[in-house]
Amino acid sequence: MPEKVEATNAEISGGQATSRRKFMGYIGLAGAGAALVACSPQNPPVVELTPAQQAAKQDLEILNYALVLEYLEAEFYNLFAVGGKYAANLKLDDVKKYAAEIAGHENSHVKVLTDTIVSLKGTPATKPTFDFSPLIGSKPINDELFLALAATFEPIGVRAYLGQVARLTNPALIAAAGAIHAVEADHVSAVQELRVKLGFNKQPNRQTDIAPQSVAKPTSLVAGDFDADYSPTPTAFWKALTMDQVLAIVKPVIK
Amino acid sequence: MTTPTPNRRSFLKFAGAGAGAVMLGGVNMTALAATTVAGKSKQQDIDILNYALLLEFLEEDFYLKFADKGALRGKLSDARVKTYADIIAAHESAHVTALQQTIVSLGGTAITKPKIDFTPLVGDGSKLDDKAFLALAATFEPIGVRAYLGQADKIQNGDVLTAAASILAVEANHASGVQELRRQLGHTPANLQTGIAPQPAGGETIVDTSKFNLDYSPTPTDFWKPLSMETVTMIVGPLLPK
Repeated sequence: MPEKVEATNAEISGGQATSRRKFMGYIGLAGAGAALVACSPQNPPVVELTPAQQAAKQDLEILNYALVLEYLEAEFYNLFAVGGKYAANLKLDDVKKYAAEIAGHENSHVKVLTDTIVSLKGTPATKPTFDFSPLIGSKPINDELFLALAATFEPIGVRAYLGQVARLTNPALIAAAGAIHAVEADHVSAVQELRVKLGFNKQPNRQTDIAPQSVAKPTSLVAGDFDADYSPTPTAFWKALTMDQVLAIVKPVIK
Repeated sequence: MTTPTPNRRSFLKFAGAGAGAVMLGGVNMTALAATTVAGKSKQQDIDILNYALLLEFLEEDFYLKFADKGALRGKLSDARVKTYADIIAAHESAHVTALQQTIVSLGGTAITKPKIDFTPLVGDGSKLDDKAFLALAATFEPIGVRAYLGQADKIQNGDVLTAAASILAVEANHASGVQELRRQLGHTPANLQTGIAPQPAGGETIVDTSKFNLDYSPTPTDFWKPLSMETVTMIVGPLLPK
């Protein structure tokens, strides 16, 4: 991208350091979509964009970023929902119910984001190939692991949306992103209170605004350093995550 | 609604007071109800923040009554329920402080805390217990979610928007944590999928809390539906005596 365009984007983003270049790098690596590759530094636009075009472009980039995260969440929950590869690994009815309900929500988010991108004349990112084995390791795939992973993904979703909401320029998108943002927060707390009941959460009152990042390593983007044991109502104010941070977190599960 | 002895008469009386400017806690809600996407301005941001502050005053007052050292603490018995009262009260107090400071930083004047009267919802308080407390929490929190959502696209200042979104998620945390706890305690089957909780299915215009449905799932929807200032005002108005 020409430097001039970068500067314009930073301005639109309200001062938040734009992470688009890296975003493109990650998504390009992940093979997540021709549209995004078309914006990569190797293919600078021939025509300079107007501020309105820049704004629309930034919105589409954010929507595609959200889409990749929702693809990830949808795939994870679909694995454990009825018909999924690991559905039989869940034994508790309460846990199965959450797998089904949350899978339904994430699939719906994928569809709405895809439709929205198309309606804005953008190209939706294609679904990456996910591999959750780095998170699963040698742990048994059961109710406890499912809930622990859900309690890891969901607050990342909350904080990822929070990091983008003020960068969206189209008010209709702000409203829609806000609606999804709150849904991710619902998932966090429902799952976490269930973990408390089942005895899986050893710190049921722990307050933190950076979940699932830990107290010991608060800036780490490595899932192995995370701590999924936090209060279901963990904070008065969530702290946002940038695109850079989120993409670094999820990169290990994107093949 | 499952709260004890709701005072229907005072609710309906308020709901009937349609004509003229509706003043709540020193805020002209009728004027506020005119916030728009097209009318984004610093003044509109301040109006929205004062509206949010009014709702947070209400929530804070409610939870502090049940929190440690609160007047109604003795009504709670379950340890987990007490923990929820303490944690959520602290969050709502933090929201009040942050909103006040933000309003001042924008050059506005924060509203003062209004008189708040929960009698329409709790009667004389004699029937309050864990179950009633949680039911009220499950009433307020999704209204908070939807009230913030109704304003998000009308906020001009990016920092204010991010702060509001952060609180929006916190209200959703409260709604879902409380609702999962209610389910565990056998207070509700918590099996409804709905984007308009606590309003009943198809009841987006219903503002009478006695008609609300608190059996929504802790993960109730894929997309929350916003509430307008006007509707929120109608719902909480009875708790804010003139």
